[in-house]
Amino acid sequence: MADYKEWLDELNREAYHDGEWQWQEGDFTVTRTTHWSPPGCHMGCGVLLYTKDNKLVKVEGDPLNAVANGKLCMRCLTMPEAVNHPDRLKYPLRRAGERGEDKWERISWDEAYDEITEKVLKIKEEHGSETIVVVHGTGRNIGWQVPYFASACMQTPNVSTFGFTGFACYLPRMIGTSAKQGDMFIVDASQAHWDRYASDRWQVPGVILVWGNEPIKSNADGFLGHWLVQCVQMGSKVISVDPRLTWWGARAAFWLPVRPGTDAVVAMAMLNVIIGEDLYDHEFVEKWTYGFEALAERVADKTPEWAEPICDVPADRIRGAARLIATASSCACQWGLAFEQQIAALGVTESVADIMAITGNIDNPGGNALYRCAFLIEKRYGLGDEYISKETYAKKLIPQTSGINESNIVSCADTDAILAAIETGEPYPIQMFWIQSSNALSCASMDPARTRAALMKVPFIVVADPFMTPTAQAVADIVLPVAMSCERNSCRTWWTPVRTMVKVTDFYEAKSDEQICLDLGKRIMPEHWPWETDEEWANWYLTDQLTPGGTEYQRTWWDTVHEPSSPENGCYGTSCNGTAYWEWDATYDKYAKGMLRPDGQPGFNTPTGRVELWSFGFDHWGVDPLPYHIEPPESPLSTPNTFKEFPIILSGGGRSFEFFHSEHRQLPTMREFHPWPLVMVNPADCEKYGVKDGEWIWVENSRGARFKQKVKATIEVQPGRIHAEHGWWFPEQDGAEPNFYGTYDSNLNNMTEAFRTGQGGIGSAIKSMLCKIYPVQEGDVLPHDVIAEKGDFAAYEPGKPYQVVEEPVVTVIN
Amino acid sequence: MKGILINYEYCTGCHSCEVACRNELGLTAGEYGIKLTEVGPYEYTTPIAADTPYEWVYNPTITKACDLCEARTALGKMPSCVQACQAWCMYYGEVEDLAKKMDGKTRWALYAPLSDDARSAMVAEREALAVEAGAAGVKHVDTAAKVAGKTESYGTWVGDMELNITLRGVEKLEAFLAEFATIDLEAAKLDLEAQIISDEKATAYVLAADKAVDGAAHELGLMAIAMNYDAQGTQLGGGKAYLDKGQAVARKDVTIMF
Ligand code: SF4
Ligand code: SF4
Repeated sequence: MADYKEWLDELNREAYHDGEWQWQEGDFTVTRTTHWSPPGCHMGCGVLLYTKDNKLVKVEGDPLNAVANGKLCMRCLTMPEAVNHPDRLKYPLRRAGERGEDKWERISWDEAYDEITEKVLKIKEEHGSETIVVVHGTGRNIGWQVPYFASACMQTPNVSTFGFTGFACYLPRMIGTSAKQGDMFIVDASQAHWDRYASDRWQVPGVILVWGNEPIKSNADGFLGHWLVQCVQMGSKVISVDPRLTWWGARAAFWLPVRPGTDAVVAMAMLNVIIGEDLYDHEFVEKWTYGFEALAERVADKTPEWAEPICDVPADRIRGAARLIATASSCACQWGLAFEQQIAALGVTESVADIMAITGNIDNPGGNALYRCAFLIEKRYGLGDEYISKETYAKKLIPQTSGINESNIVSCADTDAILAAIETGEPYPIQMFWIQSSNALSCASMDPARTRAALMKVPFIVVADPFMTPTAQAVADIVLPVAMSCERNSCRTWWTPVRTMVKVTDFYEAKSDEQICLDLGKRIMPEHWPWETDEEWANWYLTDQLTPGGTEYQRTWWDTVHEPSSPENGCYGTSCNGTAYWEWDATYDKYAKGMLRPDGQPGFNTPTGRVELWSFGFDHWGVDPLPYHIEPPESPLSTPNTFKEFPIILSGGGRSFEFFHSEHRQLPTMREFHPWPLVMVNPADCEKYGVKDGEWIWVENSRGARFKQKVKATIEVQPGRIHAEHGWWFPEQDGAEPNFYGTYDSNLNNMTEAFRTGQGGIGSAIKSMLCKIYPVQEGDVLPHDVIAEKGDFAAYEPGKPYQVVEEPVVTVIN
Repeated sequence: MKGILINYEYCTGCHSCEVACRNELGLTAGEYGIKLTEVGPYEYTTPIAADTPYEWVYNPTITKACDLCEARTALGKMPSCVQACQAWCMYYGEVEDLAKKMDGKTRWALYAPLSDDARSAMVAEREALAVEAGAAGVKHVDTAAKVAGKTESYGTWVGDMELNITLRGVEKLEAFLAEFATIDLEAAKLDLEAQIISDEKATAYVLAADKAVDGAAHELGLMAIAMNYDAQGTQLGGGKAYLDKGQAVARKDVTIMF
């Protein structure tokens, strides 16, 4: 819809009950609210829920909600399949056999809470509360609830998205930009404006730089990928930097099919062109940046011709793309997960952030806006930290060698340090895991067999999830049934706007994430849980947090649910029930207006007050303060011998429309559209390695680890590279050990490993591994059988990485 | 005449139109009111005059099930597919107006699905032909009944087990009862429930002789019967796999199609 204004003019607002939050349509009650999760998602689009007799029957997008304007993905459109699914957990369960035996007994919530309370109090007393690890999954809208629960109920600093080595998800980009620019930059597709694409403050991006992600499928980090499709219709050009040909690459002015793990090389060459050809924004650089000379010197010899043989991108394309970025009216950078899923995570983050800075694309319309979460409500990981004693907090599990962790900029614990603590008992043995909405074994965990083996050593494990998952099946002692989105009173405040969610149905005894935290919090540490209901807790969160600064939001959860917002109630513009926009986020050039620094002076919120091209923060952490590249630990350049036997570069984790990470596998519509895990192989490689489209193949690495998926023959991947899917398990299969719903058999993470990270303990080389491929034969031994017999594909020492197969030629380029 | 215009240059293949349409029309797996087609990705080796050498394009095709969302549009809402379209590449309106948007700068496809009149005429003609065929002794299956068919769902408890029954094509049962039975639909449902509990593999509903007008037993064949078990409660969800381990059934969902 190139003309948003025209669309708005033609929209029949009355037909969609403008101003109402709930109404009757025939037999149905319709509720205007937003969906976040579960089932999981990173977005929070406006939805209209059609319910009848306490049952969700249909979901539609809400055209009056400016977040998605009624557009909705198939996961929301089929939500009734998830919500009414016969496999959903209905009651709390207690293990009735050994872990993994799939024997359970139904217990009451009181029994569950009593047992948990008793165990938690005993562990705190006998071992210290730090021996409790709290794990939460992504995309379940529990980013503030669970950290508060960890602090104010469990009193542990050890909160983690367990299993994900090197914080390899968004966090590196967040801390990287915070260090260099004082805030986080987000591609500006008008999402902060209540009147969106029609806002006269906004302008359409001149060029969209999509780097290392497929936003229309992943909608990562609170950013709806299809917003950018609208920008393209309004005239934005496209540059795609991605090993894979995506929707973007096929339409791009320049597609740069970078060799996985070498993105920093491309970025440094772009910097070389932009500076060398004098295409940078002189005014911005002179007035607002620090360290330009050092940067210029660092990249002076990094020409596109230098880059080409390393990153496999033709020099001309790098040069062309760099020129387009520098000369376009603005450049919006949609960067993705590939940044941290390589060993040079911070190096590539620095280089790309610098490209945006020296071309003046910071906090500009249609460029990259500096956002803070709406009304400063969101506090996330730090929430409630003050309830943990200093001595206990000091025991947070962080690796000894990481400057980033020491400076405590990351408030969650380090997953490898937790794994080491379990495996070695040092610095202290872990007594309990509280896993809320994380299916680590199928999804986040590097090396799931190792993760499972470690968790078997933890005496007490509680898992809360809407479905029985491989993780719950394999390690839980108690499983709690979690309510879904339409069964939940909640709110989300990640970026903007504020969004509320309202409960309209019940499902047996399932309780919302909020309710579970609240119930247990009240039992274990009632002094920190003064709220009677989930609504009251949400009110406190929205308007009255104890943490310094509080919030700038005045409206209660109830008001937000029931009333549209407008300038009269302190919001930016008008927006439908369940949302509230914040003027601050919609303001550009905030650095020039003195809006970023606590002292109210113009400038950025960094030590120098400028965008730091040479970063004091990075230097302080012991990370190279200027752009750098490190070769993946296994690659054609770093392990040439291994490369001979394992001649294919394996990437993975790309998303599909049907699934959110490991979720949605039990829904009939999703499996109708996407029945099996797919590994993309170039047709030339199919020929070369004797594998066929639609056939199951093994993907195997130098450690002897392997997994199987079905071939999709496609030029989406280049010859010599394949791409596999993550998160697969098969709810229709046997859940008991050793099969665990088949979660090991197709698991890309059999190939990944813990304890190997980039500078500062950040980043992990999981998008650039070496492998070989061959057809699956009748009678082949399945991964779950290998694991049942040997424990894992290869041996390892407690708390240590695997022995390397070939000592890598360490190539650090700076 | 109303139609749907697709600026398929921008379709991302997200499937939302397909699923939103199914929700609207109540279609089942494998059936569509609108269905994506995909061309590519491939790279041209023959030079073409275009922006990139890659072809990778989606375009949804509108099927004969589409009624242009009559019920919704009458209320002033957008057709379900148009509303859901994530790429915002679908437009609904008078075909003359829609045609004006096609500017030659990007690729567009204008769909003019069957009109109401055409649809009614087709149904009438089909019925007329079916009657003739029926007269000649040829059995016909009226597939349209599936969409139009009456569905009833109800739940009950059998001891500790929850039993949910869905009847599809209730009008056939009603017609059968009207012809042969002394009992009403509610009583027949209880009958049916008892029969299903005692024999899951039943292939027909049996109307006992003492409930029939003519004092003789009658059978109404079942087109299909589908069961979904759930062993949770005693143990946990997951259906058949648990039953195989000898765990008791906690819930059974039965769908009976006449
Ligand atoms: S107009 Fe309605 S019936 Fe037709 S394809 Fe779209 S959603 Fe389906
Ligand atoms: S909803 Fe729109 S973008 Fe998605 S497949 Fe259909 S036409 Fe294409």
